[in-house]
Amino acid sequence: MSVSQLPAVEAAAPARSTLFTHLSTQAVYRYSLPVVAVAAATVGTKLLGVAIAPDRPSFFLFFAAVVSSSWFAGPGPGWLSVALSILAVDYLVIPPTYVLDFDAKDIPRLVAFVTCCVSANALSLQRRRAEAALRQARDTLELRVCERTAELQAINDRLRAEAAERVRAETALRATQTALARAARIMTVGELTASIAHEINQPLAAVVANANAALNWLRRDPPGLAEATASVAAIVAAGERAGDVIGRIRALVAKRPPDMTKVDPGEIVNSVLSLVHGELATRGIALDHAFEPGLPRVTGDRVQLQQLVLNLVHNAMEAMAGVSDRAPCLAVRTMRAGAAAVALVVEDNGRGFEGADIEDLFEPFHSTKCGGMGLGLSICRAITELHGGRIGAAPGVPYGAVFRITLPITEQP
Amino acid sequence: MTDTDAVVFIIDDDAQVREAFVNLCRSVGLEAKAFASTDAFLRAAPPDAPACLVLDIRFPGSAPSGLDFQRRLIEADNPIPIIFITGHGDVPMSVQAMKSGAVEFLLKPVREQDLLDAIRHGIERDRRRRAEEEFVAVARRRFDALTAREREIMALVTQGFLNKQIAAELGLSEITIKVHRSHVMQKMAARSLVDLVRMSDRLLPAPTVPPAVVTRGNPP
Repeated sequence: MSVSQLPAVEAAAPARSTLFTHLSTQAVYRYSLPVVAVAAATVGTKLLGVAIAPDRPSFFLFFAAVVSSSWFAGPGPGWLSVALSILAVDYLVIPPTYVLDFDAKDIPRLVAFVTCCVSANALSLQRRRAEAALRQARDTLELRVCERTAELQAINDRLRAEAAERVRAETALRATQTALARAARIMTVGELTASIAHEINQPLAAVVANANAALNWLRRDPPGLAEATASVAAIVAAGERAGDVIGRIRALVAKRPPDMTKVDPGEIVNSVLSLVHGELATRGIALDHAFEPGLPRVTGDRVQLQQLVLNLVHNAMEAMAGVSDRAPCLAVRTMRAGAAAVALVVEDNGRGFEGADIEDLFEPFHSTKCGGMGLGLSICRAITELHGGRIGAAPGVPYGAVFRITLPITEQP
Repeated sequence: MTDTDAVVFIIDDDAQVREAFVNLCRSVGLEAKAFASTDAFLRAAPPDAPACLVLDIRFPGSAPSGLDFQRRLIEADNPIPIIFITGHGDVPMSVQAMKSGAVEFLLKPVREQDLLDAIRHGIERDRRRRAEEEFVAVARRRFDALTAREREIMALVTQGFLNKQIAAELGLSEITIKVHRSHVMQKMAARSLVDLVRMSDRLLPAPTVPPAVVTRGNPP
């Protein structure tokens, strides 16, 4: 296929000079085609005329020459072939031959031939143009598709970069939240020091008393070996309990990335209550807890969920401080919340929200407590959302506040 | 330890701690009984033996606190000696406890010797109190067996009046007074006048003024 038949697509700039030489070479080839074709048709017609019908020569070979010239070489060569054919026919085929003259009786034939030649050429050219237009349309389409694909690719790349940036930002945010949560945990644990000291002091007291008892049993005559053994076993149990308390506190203040495992909501609540048990009793707060049996587990970070509960319980205790006209009572409950979630409710009969906007409660640095940082509840919300859950607050009836967390269930019971 | 009949009551809501204290008491031959709460202790039958109570005041603010319980026992006329143990006691609390008659106020973790000394001290106090109560009960029974005249004479005798003064006071002969007086000594099982005075101290209201400056004793 020749270059001139290509649609008007600019070739690449560096190839332009070679293209010109190429084009001129092509023009020579193209214009030689009608000459050769018409010559061949003339010779063929002459030979056919000699062989078949010398008095009635046929012109069909000229039509073929015209059609092929215009088809393969374009409009210029096409019209050239028409002109050459007419000349050839008049000069060589229609008598008197070898002169550019003709008889009056041959006028209709000549007219018919000219008309046919022109029409054949026009049809062929039209066909060629249509073909070229079609090709051009196809190529334009391809080009457009290419362009759009490139555009889409660029958009895709941008989106991918944005997504990566977002992931980085989220990772940074999570790291900050984790650090903040830990700081808050340490603060809370600090506030509960007295209670925690008591939790360690208890088993320590048991250890000392049992150790003394064991010595006494051994000093007896005869030694009370069975009793001494039982005393030592009791020491072991008490020591392990003290270790558990330390372990729980260490886990609560340790610096570590979130570790998502399957956890039992009731167990989380229990472990928190065991830490604040002393604090509750010190403040004279009655504890009412109810765990729905057979609750499914949720996926979460044990320490963060403990902190969540600890924050809410601690808040509740603070809210009940200074309330003297009713016996303070903290209620902690776990239950099913529909088919796909577990709810955890912490309720107190303290001061309540005192007209504060519940919507603002979970915003950072929003505090109703005197001396509060206003981070506790915002951390609670961050933790809940990290676990795919929801946290809500409502005024208690007739006093206090109710906090409700729902966490999605991850497995069937 | 010879207190084979004595009982130590231990109240602590922490099972490990109370079992440890029970174990410690038993290891030195003391009978010990443990309760998880003050209510459980009150529901149990009161001991018929020298006893003392080891009470863990866990939390000063909790209601009812150890001090409240002590007050309740005093109001209920339950004189069992109390040894307080606390994880975080303060001075006002210990003063209050000791003023209300606590044997000892110990801080956790408790030294064995301190606790056992306090327990022995408490049991000894209870033993004395029981002996005293027993003495008074016996004296009361004997006193109840006296006639009205004998009680009258006992009151005057123990206030230091002479037979002669009593005879004059009651308008009786000195001989009659002597007979009544010997009946009193016999019925009250008093070996001496001092014995009788000790009993009357616990049975009769004390005279409002010393007998030396009055000529008449108060009627019983």
